Amino acid sequence: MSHIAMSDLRKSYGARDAVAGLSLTIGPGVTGLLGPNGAGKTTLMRMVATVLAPTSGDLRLLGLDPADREQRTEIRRRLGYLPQEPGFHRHFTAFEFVDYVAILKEMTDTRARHREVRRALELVGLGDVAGKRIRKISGGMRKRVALAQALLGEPQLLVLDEPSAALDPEQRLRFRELVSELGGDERIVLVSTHQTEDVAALCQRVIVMRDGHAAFDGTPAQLSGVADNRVWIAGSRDPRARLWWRTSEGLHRHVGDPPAGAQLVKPTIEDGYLLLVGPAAVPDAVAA
Amino acid sequence: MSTTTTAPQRELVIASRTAPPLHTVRWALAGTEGRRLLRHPLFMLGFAFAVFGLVLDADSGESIFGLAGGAYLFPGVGLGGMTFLVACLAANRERRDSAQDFYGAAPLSERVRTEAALLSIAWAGLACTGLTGVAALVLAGFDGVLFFDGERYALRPLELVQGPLYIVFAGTLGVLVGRWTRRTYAAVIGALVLVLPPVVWLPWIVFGDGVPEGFSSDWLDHASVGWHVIGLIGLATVAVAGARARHDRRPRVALLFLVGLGAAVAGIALGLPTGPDPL
Repeated sequence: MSHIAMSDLRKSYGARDAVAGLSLTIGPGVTGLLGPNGAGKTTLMRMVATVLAPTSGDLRLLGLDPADREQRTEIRRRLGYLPQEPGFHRHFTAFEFVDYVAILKEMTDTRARHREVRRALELVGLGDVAGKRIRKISGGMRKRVALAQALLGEPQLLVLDEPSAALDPEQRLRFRELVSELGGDERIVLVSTHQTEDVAALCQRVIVMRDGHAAFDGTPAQLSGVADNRVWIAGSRDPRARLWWRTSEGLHRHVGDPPAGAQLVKPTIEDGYLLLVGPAAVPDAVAA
Repeated sequence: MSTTTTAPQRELVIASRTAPPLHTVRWALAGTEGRRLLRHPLFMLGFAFAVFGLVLDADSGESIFGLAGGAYLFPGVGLGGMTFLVACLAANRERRDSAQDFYGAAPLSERVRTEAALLSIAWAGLACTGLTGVAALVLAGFDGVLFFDGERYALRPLELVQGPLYIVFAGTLGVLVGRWTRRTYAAVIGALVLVLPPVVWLPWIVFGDGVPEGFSSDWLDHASVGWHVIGLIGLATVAVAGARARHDRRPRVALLFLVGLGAAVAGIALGLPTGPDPL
């Protein structure tokens, strides 16, 4: 039962639905969640990580019901979670922090636990700074410490909320390599991100969220396909474009309905994403 | 009766076999927290202060004051206040650091984490027991007899137990406050209350009757040590129940609170100092 299944899942805060009746099934592999701020990504991630209870709807994780206390504990035994804003105790060293989380994950054999902590820290490239206090390491390193704790015990379900934020390009490359290796046959990796490049590099499947709904669910290629024949380059800004921006070459890249004779270019995932969630989103472009 | 097991239940049963027993995890976490407590600079400062007081008093030849002054009479100044402070900061660490998501996604529940925090206070109690033991050996020797101006007084084991019990009480009180509030100032204020008059002047440590005139002074309180010990245990039990009540509303916690309260009231009523030693 290696999948996440949700049916009419809803999380409300007062009158506002952060997640508004979402129905999805997510299987093994790396699935990316894209969406603007406030789209409901983090709320969804927190529900999948069992730290937030849905207001209504049905959620099954690895075939288990997180609403049931015993089954929730069982899910947590198989879960690795990187929260969007990891709260560290800054006086801990990187090793102490990951070791502490390892105990919370019921790893009681000291020798085996320490071996696992070292493995996780090595995986994220922090083996040589394990003894440094968290307050003394950079933001990017802290993010990797948080990632290390999520990798403890080789979890079956890995929930990573904006894992590549604060990482420099080299670290981001390494992170992509690591996560793509993690998304094996059995493991479900759910990655929430603002980085469309991450999705292109990592994910077999991408879900774009907007206002608590899934505005798109498909492959990265399908997402860029949303903008097929709708991206063009021109020397000056075309007011008919739904979105546009100036490129580093001084040209203007436009997304929307092109005028006749426009110089069409190959769309990227970002173009597709912007068409979906931009100010003039195109509802009929949603892929099933 | 049907014995059919659904697929999720079967998976649950299979996976549960690999999970270690809860008490093992609880003690593993308690050990980590306990060692962190002992290594905390504030606790070490309090411990050093207690040792310093002990050495000073012993050096002045006032051996019973050495035991009382260094480890007992003002344990709040020496260790109690610091134990409270460190335990409180550790207990509210996850909320101070906004790390609820980190901890919340782990299989170990808040209830078990609170229990581990309470158990970790045993490490401070053991440290104080060690200090008391060494002090008693140095000052009173293996037979536990103190000599002063030609008079002798044999220390009773229950008298020696009070210092560590007070430390355990201060620590569990720290966990109680830490579990209910995330505010650092609450920890600091609580520690100050413990180490400043009038709380520090309360008869936390008492001696039995029969202390010779030469030993006795206004500094020493005399009472039924047994009842006093029961009172200290009762106070610590009340703090334990109060801390657990944050995440555990089962009847057994209420029962623990009532038992602790009863012991505390009985201990305080029957173990109150009876005034200066009649001898």
